[in-house]
Amino acid sequence: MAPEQVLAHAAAQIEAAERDTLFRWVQQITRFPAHMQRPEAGLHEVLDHIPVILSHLRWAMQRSPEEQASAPEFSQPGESHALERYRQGVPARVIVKEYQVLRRELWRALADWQPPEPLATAEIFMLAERLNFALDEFMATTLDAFVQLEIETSGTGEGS
Amino acid sequence: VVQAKAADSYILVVDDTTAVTEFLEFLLADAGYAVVSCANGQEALVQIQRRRPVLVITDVAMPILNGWELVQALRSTEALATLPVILMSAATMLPFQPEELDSYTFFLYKPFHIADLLKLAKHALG
Repeated sequence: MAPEQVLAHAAAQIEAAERDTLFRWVQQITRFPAHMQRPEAGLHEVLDHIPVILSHLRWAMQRSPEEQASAPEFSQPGESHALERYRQGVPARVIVKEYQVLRRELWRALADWQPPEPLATAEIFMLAERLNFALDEFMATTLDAFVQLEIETSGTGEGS
Repeated sequence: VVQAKAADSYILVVDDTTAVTEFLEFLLADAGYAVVSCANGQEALVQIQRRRPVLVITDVAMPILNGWELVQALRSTEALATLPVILMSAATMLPFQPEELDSYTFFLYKPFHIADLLKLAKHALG
């Protein structure tokens, strides 16, 4: 398959498995102490911007890093996610762990995928590079925004 | 609390983590089941005595009365001894051996897939 076909099929698989991915993700991250301290937090609050991030991720993984860089608005949900997690009192390291669980679940969804034809090793590496790069970009954007919030808050003497 | 199609038969979901409860309510309602939810085993016992569900899906680790204690309370009551229960847990140390559960009690390790839950629910409902 052409690289763009591999990426399009993989993005479609991620979309098809999205509900299951999010369900498994919620089951795991709600066991992190930062979330266990807030058992009353509703589903909308726990998911926060992750469904939007997944949607943008499917777009981003089908573009080169250069194309992604020319459309900086694609990472905006990562900034919004940082703001909400900051308001919820979730530490930065937990946000990283949440992304790690998301990455694991995305690859689990892809492991169950049956592409139209078997992927060559080079195609799997290309897919891994694109998907992981895009997800790392969201993580970086989220952490940048989170750190900025901490700096601003410490400057004003406010706590989270 | 979500009420789906069958008002007289419902599945009782018991979990102290609201996000998980809400996701289960959504998934079960989407599959056509009526759902009522509680935050712990004690609330569940009150709800069961008020109106018997067709199936209980409960977390194991919960405050006040945990999922395993809920099962034991049900099994010690003649009228509820055969009420199907699905226990779910991520813990490796459980207060029971999953392979030694009675034929009306089932177990799912968290995290589990939606398909596995719906398949087991269908099986438990006979």
